[in-house]
Amino acid sequence: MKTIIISDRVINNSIFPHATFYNLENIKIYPCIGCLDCIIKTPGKCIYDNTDIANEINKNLLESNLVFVITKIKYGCYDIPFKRLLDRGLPNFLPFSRIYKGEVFNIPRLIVPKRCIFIGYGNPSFEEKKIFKDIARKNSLDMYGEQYDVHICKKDDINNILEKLGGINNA
Amino acid sequence: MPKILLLNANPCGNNSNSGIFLSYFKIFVEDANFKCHNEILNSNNHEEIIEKIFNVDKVVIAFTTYAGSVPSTLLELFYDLEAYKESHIGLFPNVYAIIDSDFFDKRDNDISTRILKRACKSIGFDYGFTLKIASSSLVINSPFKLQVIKLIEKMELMVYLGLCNTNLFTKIPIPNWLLIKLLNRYWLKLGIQNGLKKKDMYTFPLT
Repeated sequence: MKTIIISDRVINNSIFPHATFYNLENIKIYPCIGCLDCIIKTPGKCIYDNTDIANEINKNLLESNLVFVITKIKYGCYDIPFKRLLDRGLPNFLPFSRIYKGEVFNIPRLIVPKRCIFIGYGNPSFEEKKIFKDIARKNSLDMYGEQYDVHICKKDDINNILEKLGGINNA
Repeated sequence: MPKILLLNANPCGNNSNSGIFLSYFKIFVEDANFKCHNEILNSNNHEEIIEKIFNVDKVVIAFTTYAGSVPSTLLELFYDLEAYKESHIGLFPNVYAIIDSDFFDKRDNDISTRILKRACKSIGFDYGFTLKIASSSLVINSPFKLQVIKLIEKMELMVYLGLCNTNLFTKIPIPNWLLIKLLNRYWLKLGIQNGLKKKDMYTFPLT
C-alpha cells in the first residue's frame, strides 16, 4: 500500500515509516497561473515542472492508496501551501468529465482507489468546520477516494491523531 | 459618484471567462455612473490592489473555482487584507462576487461563496451576494450567453441599490448527460486546435 503524507508543519512521521512525507513548510510551490497548457498543449505536464516539485508531489498523490493531508484551516479552506499544491494538481486530470458517486468530476489520469484522511488544525468556527468537511469530501472524490475521514483538532493534537491512526497502512 | 473596483481574480487573467463576465458588468456599471476601476490579481500586485480596495465603495471579485474552491492567489490576497486592515482608518467596501465553474451544478460555487463570506467577515467587509455561473465554458459559447448577460445586468442593478442576500444562479438548461457530452467535446476541440490528437490528451505518466 502506497502512503503519502502532505503536511504544512513538522509532524511525527515515524508512525508511518514507509510513507512518503512532504513538509510544505519547506517547499516553495508556485501558484497555478491557469495557462491550461497541462490540458490542451502538453497533457499532464506543467510549465513549472522544472521550477518546483509540485508535479512530483501531485503524481505521488495520484498513485497513493492512502493519503494524509495535514493543513491549517483558514476561512474554512486549506491554508495557502496545500491549496497552492491542489490548484497545481490540474495535470493530474483529464479535461473530460465523468459521473462518480452521483456527481460530476474530472477524470484522473490514473485511477487508484484511495482512502483520504484530512486533518485540519487551528481554531475554526462551527461554519468553518462545515466548509472544511465539504471541501475535503469534494477533493477526496476528485482523487477517486473510496473513503475519506476528516479530523479537526488543535495544533498540538495532530500527533495524537496520527498515533491513533497508526497501523492503518499495515493492514 | 460611487466608486467600484472590478477585480479579476482568475489566475488566467483576461483570457478567462471571468474576464468576459466582468467586461459585461463593466458596460452596465458605466451606464449607471459608477467610477469604475479594473484590476487583474496576480501574486505581485497585492499592495496596489489593497490600496484600491480601501478606496472604493464596492468591489466585485470574479473568478473560476480551482480545485473546488477559491484559487490560492485570491486566498493570499485575503490574508494580506486581513493583515492590512488594522492600519486602515475609514470605511470598508461592500464585496460581491461572480463565481463560475465548469461543472453543471453550483456545488463548487457554493463552497467558494461560503469561504468568501468567512474571509470578508474576518476582514470586516460586508459581503453582498454571489452570481453563480455553472457550466461557464459552454454558456459563454452558446446562445444561453444572453441569459448570463441578463443576470449580470440584474446583478449590476442590485449592486447599485445595495441589495444583498440574494444569490443569483444560472447554467445551461439541458440534461446533465448532454452537458457532459458537450463539455467533453469542447475540451477535445480545444486540444485538437492546439495540435493534439484525442489519445495524446490521455497521456500518462505525468512527467
